[in-house]
Amino acid sequence: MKAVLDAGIFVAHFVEADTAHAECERAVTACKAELIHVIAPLVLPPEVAGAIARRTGDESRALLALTHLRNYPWLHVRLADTRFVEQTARLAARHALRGADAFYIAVAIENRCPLITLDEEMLTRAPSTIRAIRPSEWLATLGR
Amino acid sequence: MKAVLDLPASLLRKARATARKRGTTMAKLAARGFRLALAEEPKIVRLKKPTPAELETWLAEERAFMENFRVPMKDPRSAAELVSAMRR
Repeated sequence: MKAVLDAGIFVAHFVEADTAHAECERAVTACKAELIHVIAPLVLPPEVAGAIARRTGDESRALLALTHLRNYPWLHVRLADTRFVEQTARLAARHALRGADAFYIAVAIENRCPLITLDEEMLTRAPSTIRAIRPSEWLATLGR
Repeated sequence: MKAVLDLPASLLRKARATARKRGTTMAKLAARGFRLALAEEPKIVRLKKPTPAELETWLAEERAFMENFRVPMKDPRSAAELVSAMRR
């Protein structure tokens, strides 16, 4: 089983004080427990690092999070070649997407898998060809 | 050509060998975006489902790791709001 997880899920998972922490911790745990093949676009690591740095005001904590992400064997970062970037740009044009959102959606389309996100804009703007859902909805589909 | 030369040593060796095998030059391969083709994603490792005990241990390790982020937040916004704002 595959899924695309948004950077916000990992940030909320790492930061216990986050309002969505419990939900995101369950989602990340489900990935580990169910051997979900999580695919992320290449923007995920910088997004997680940037968000952690902003929240904590500490670069070293952001780098710790980055190293920790690399140790998730079920998380795969989809590198982008020229063709994929072109496809993503066309997708962004068709659906008036933000750049990073387009990469997440393109990876979900390519892998025919759901996109799990907390981002309202991605939830509303994602094309109907993919399922963009919240972690809690996704967990329900897994029976967790 | 610069794109190919930017490759790490291991991929550079692979690029050279591939160019030789195809009877072409690295410059021509670079022109065709060979750098990105080479920087392929790592092979998927077959993983075993964790036992409940292993999962508990892992979760305990994750929670211990989360201690790193139990600090006063410079930016109090939620992860969803923050990541979304960073994309604007």
